[in-house]
Amino acid sequence: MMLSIRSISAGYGPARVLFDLNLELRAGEISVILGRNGAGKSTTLKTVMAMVPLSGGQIWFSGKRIDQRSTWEIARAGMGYVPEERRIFPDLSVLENLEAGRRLPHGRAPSWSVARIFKLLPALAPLGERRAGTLSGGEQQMLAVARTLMGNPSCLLLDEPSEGLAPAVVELLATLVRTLRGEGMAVLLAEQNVRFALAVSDTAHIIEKGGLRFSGTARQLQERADLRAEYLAL
Amino acid sequence: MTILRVEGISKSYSGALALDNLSFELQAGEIIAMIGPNGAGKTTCFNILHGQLRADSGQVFVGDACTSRMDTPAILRLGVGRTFQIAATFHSFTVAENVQMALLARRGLLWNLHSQAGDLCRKEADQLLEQLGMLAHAARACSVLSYGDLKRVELAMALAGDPILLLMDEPTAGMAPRERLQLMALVVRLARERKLSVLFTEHDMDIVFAHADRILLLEQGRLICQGTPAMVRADPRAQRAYLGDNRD
Amino acid sequence: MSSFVLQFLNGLTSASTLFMVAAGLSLIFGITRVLNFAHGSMYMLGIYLAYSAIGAFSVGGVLTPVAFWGGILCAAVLVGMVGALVELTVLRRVYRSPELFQLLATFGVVLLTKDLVLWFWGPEDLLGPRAPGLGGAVEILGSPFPEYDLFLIVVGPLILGLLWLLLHSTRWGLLIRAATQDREMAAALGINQKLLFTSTFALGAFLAGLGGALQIPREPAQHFLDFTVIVDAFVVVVVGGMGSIPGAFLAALLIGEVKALCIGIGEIGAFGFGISLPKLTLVVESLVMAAVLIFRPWGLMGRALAVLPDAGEARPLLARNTAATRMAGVAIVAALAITPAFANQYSLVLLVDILIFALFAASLHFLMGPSGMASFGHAAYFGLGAYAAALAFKQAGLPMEISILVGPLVAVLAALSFGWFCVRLSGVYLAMLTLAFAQITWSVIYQWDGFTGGSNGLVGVWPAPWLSGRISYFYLVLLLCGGAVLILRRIIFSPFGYALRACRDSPMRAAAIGINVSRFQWMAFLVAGGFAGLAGALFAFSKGSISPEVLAIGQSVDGLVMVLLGGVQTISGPLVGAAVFTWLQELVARHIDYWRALLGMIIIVIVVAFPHGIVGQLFSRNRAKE
Repeated sequence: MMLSIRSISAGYGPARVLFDLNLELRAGEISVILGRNGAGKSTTLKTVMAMVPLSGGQIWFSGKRIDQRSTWEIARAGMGYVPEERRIFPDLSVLENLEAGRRLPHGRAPSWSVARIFKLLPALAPLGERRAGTLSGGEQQMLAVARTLMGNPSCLLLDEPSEGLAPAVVELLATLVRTLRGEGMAVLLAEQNVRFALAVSDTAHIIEKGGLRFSGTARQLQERADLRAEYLAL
Repeated sequence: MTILRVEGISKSYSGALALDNLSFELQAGEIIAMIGPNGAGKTTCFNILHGQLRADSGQVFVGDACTSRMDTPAILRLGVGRTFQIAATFHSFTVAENVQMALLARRGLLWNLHSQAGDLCRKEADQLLEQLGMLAHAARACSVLSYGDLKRVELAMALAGDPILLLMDEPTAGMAPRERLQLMALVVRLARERKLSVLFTEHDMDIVFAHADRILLLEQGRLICQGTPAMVRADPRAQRAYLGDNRD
Repeated sequence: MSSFVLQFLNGLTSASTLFMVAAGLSLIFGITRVLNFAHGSMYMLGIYLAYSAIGAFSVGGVLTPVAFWGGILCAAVLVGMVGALVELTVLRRVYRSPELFQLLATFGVVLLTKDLVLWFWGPEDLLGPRAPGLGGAVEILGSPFPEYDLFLIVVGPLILGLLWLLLHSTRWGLLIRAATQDREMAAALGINQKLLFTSTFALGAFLAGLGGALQIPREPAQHFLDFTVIVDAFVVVVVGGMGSIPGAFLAALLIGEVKALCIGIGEIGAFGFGISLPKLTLVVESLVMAAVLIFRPWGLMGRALAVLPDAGEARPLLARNTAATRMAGVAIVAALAITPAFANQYSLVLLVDILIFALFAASLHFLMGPSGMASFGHAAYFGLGAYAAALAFKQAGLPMEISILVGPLVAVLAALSFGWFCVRLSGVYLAMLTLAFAQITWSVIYQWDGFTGGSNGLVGVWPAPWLSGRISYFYLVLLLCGGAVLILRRIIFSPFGYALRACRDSPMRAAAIGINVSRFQWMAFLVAGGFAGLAGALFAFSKGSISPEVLAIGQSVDGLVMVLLGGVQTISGPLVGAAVFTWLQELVARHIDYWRALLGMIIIVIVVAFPHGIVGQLFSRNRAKE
């Protein structure tokens, strides 16, 4: 098991968001967390990154317990995280953003370089010297993903990557995610865009009110209109 | 009787339109939910209604008074109370003191350097706390309360202003599922008892469909549909907004 | 014309030094968000170390260029190492503590460094050698200008260029810039912050040390440089924008030139008064800062700070009087009241001091505790109270009893005008503006020789005959200070005091129930200023003389230490803090030469052992029980 979230509870100050949540992710698997906004999707990813304090439960990653580690140690262990707000460094150029994310993996050859990023995401290539803060939303999203890939992660957490993007960019993103799976990377998405999510994922989870409501294959969920209506639609 | 009338308000932040020509009405005693994806403009709308922000254009009426140019204290005096998404209480006060503060502020008794604040408005505060089932906690510090109880304290503070209209920003966010239902049932009971109108935003659809008389659905600053829960549920535009299919 | 040009060059010289110190401070703040009061101490260490290193390298007393420049570099490197040490041993442990606590930790380092310097180098000014080869002067428009100053003018832009290269063409610099923009995201990309913070501290301290060391041919090493320099550096950083290196350079130029311009213009006549601008450089400097803060709250090239995750400052309930605390209060007052029966003159003098500073600390606490506004310049009100009372007595010839009331009155007026500006800002920026106003006040008093006696101060400020005895004056002070402290306590528990705490706890909620937050905060300044002024007036008459020291930054810092040491969360804490501090200063200073170092050590130990504050610690323990 690549990532194993074992009955965690978490929240901000006295406010609780996650209640006893369980979730698992295998190597080379693309999995999506679905749920309405406010359900706890982002908080789940942030808790894995130790950016939200855990109040109960354990998190295991590649056979090691990581819930007592600090954010940078988790990142160095091979966990890549792309936040919902993208959080690129606005005053740095595109190339500098990529350099800030560069990190060599332990004991294997790096699979990511600027050249490879630009090949896969050709839209970024001519923007190398541009200040990242001046990029469009879609370009910033590409950059945020690329910056994290430069750290050669073995697992990628993507928080609402399709939010606010044009359909063509969403399609590009889907292609990218499939490419990553081809290389054995595990990807955990948090999404509201059900169609995009189910199109790229192997497995799907639904969370609502901070707890897991469904876990299964994307195909199963595709067939369960009742579940979608209950937890995702109005 | 119309309690709140919003006429075509718009607001933009550095070019981005947060609210786009929003209009709706709220009748006395009505409970309305405002829903929509993140960034739909719900909080902006609340901030305008409560005087923390000014709309770029459009007007807001509470009763007959136009509040578009009023500041928060003036709007409070018209009887508009508010609770926040993340419960905001005074954490170095006891539960009772929080409610007393709200009462003192409402009655303009704060410019007083002599009396002991802890002794003022105590009885009224206790009455309010009793209505909310919080009397047993009156002497406890807010910082040690559970989040659900904190939300109740906040509600008591809003009610201390004797409002005719209550704005509640995600009243059940951050609470355990059982607490959510209890709190919302309480809000509805109090609203009915006090003939109070409530406008709330909420992500929990069980709460929305169980308690709202009407629903307003916002997306990207625009009101895309409104009506009774059954009407909204049946509206294809609403389903699209929630399932994300409108993007492709 | 030529004097004008020379003044302009002088401005450039001082701008270079200012920039070196401020750049380090700005760099440190940008990445760690710690306002490092000890940065001035690093500058001072730089001068002293350069003095000794050059001496040590001058074999047989012969000053060679190698000895001189080697000594300066060696001093700067040593200071850099000290900076790293301070980060590793003290600051690393308090990054998650409340802001005020971090400040207290750096105060501890200031006190410790000060006494280390006194112990090692002694109290005398130490004059360093001239730079070999740069000891002469060049002719500029017919007037001589020191070669070394010309060299310094070049050094400033050179350092800016090197820093720019370091930040823009090394990976380390890139990570610094990334972490300054978004610390949390940098961590999520696997950037090790510990290493980054320590190295930034080392670099910042190195720059301050270098700035100091390079001063050795121009000014003597003095043990009060730490405070004068830190104030200048703060002004530059705030004007330029926290965390912005080009901003610091621009601001250093601006401040340096404004000062030089004042000196260049000299005396001007306006409205029939002669105003001597050279004497008002500090005023002008502070006015520039105040203006920038009001019109560009984030500085010339700064931007609004990203909100860091809340440090979670624990604030307990304020306990109302119980029978036991009331008894204890009565007992203490009773004990004080019978003291004159068996205390000697010396103890009475000390007790008077303690009572006066207890009121001073209580008034500062009123701002920092219930009102939640840190003031770095509270001595302004204390000093204005003292001076107003003394001047009313000496210059206006009012009786002493009336003069004592003039003190707080003037302090209230000052608080009204300063406070009006201050409450428009918050946090560190508010604190810096209070400091600026205090510096303005200090320099007006200091430099207005004819009226205030300038640096000599005023003498012959004695109480009326019926109060002239030690014992009767003690009772007057006990009555007024005791009464004032009780009134302050009463105000804290009044609706007004509750409203202030409400504004501090949650400005958003306070506004939502209809409280005009900034108006209440403004009035808090008035109350705190008035009571500090009363303490100042009593102080003036207790000593018989006053000097500008009473409103210098050292006095403000003493107040801060009293409050923070005793605990900002309690009402009695600052009183205890004032008593302990004053007692240490008066008594221990007689027996232990290095009492400041002792205090500094105590502060550091407390901060490291209780990173959430002593009271905060107790509070969280209670909370765990519940």
